[in-house]
Amino acid sequence: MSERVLVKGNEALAEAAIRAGCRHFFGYPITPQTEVATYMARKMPKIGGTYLQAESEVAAINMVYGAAAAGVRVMTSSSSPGISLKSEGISYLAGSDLPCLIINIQRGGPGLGGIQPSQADYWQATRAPGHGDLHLLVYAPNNVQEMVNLVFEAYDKAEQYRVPAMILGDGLLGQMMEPVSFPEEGEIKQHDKSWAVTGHKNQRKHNIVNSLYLKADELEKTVLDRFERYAQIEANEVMVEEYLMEDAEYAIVAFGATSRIAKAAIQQLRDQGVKVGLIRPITLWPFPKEAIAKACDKVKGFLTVEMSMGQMLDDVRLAVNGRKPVEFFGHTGGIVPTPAEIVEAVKAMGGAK
Amino acid sequence: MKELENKRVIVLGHYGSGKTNFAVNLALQRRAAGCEVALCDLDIVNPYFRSADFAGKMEEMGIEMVSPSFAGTNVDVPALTGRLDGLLANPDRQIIVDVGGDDAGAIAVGRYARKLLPEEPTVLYIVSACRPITDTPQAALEILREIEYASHVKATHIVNCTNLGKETTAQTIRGSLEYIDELCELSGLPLCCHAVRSDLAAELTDIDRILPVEIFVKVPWDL
Repeated sequence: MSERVLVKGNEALAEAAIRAGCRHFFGYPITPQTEVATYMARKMPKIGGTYLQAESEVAAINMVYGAAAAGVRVMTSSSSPGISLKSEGISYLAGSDLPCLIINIQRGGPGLGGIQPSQADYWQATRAPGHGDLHLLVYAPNNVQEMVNLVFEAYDKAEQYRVPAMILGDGLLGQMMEPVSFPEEGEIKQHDKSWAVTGHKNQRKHNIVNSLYLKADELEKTVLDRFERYAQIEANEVMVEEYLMEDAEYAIVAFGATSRIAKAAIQQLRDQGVKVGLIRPITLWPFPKEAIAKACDKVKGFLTVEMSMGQMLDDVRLAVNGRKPVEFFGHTGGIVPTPAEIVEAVKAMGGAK
Repeated sequence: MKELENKRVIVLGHYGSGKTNFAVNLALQRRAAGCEVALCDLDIVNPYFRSADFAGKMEEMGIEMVSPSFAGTNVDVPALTGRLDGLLANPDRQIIVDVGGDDAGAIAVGRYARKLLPEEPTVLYIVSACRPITDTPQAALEILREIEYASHVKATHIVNCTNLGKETTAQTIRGSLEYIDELCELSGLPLCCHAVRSDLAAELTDIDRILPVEIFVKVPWDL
């Protein structure tokens, strides 16, 4: 690890990607992810990399497809409306088993929405980032150092399983500044890329990168094989943080910036004698079902807190499976919940002393 | 630090260098010294964490706050108000202008350069040695030149805002002194001050030109 520096979340994602070996960035401008592209534009030309502002999000994601097919580490970044535009290309990447890193620094929606922070793309990221039977690896950092670390993790797992990865941040994480250390270059795990289209030089069979299958049974077999890999990911790659859960009578479930606010609320509640803990999914897909199911044995209820109308709430309810009450508190449209509001929401569940 | 008493102070720098926190502190300190002050948020690039966020506090302290027409809203367009022109007609009021980061933000100053330059403003270049894009004095000078080109004004002083957020210690400041000396020499500009969190100032009494500041720019979970 190198010396400490103070960086914005967006800059951290860009610098971490560079240090993880990414030399190809394709994007289209949008607030509040601007600093990712700005940083790439400044740095890439100095290190022999490619920064390219495409004519649209659709073009950018297809450039990602091309670079990923050649087996290089590639990244694109956008914010909510831009990710919607990229969803066709994301489906093609998933259907072609191509690893890449897609950043979504969420803003309020739907539609053009707003530019303030949001988590309302949870459903999109975990349910339908594109058409068809598919998943992305979805990582949800809650601090700037974790944004750095998860870039490395995302590239590593994307290549190991040949699945596109997404880092789902929000405007607050993207814009805020925290001290971090970046790993030195050279700490990168190498994966087999014998599938990459790099020129066969008459020495091997053609590699074909494609998501079109002319026969239904071939397509079904391809999807079934891919779902075996998804099952391995669900078994092996779940990441979750549990905070003060040992003696907790209530569990808050929150991810990203909202989990930081939840921790501040938990401190206040504990000062008042209310035993509350936090379960923080770090991977949103695969979702930490087991950590939540296990907590059913000890807590009286769950409170899901999100900057949306309640989307991860569905996954929490599926994991709890009716065994305990699951309540929701949130704001949407760019409004950030306050610790005081979360304190009140927990007390309303019967946690008041 | 006479230069901070100038009736016209322009605060420029790389984004994330600490411009807004410095500008808010300067406005409050000048007001506390009995001066008539206006703080102008001229940031047309940054949607979050900006001077306009402190409008309430400023009004409460009797500081006039001027913000871009749509600051803090979802209107993501660089529209400025005419109020700064009105203020510039008053030579007695101290005006502190908090400019957006880098050349992209500094371009907004160009609009006022012709009015400001004859008044010989103090133009502060805010730098932090802990920011990766300005991690060497040479890199900081490169950014300064881009800002000057875009803003049509030349920096008159350097302000050292080196910090690591909550991890800032007296050692963080000491570690930046050589960097700042070299930047002053490379740019030919004098140092205005080292802006340091007020609780660290007592550990740094051996250093000249320490300006204690409070931290106003915070995240929602900092209570």
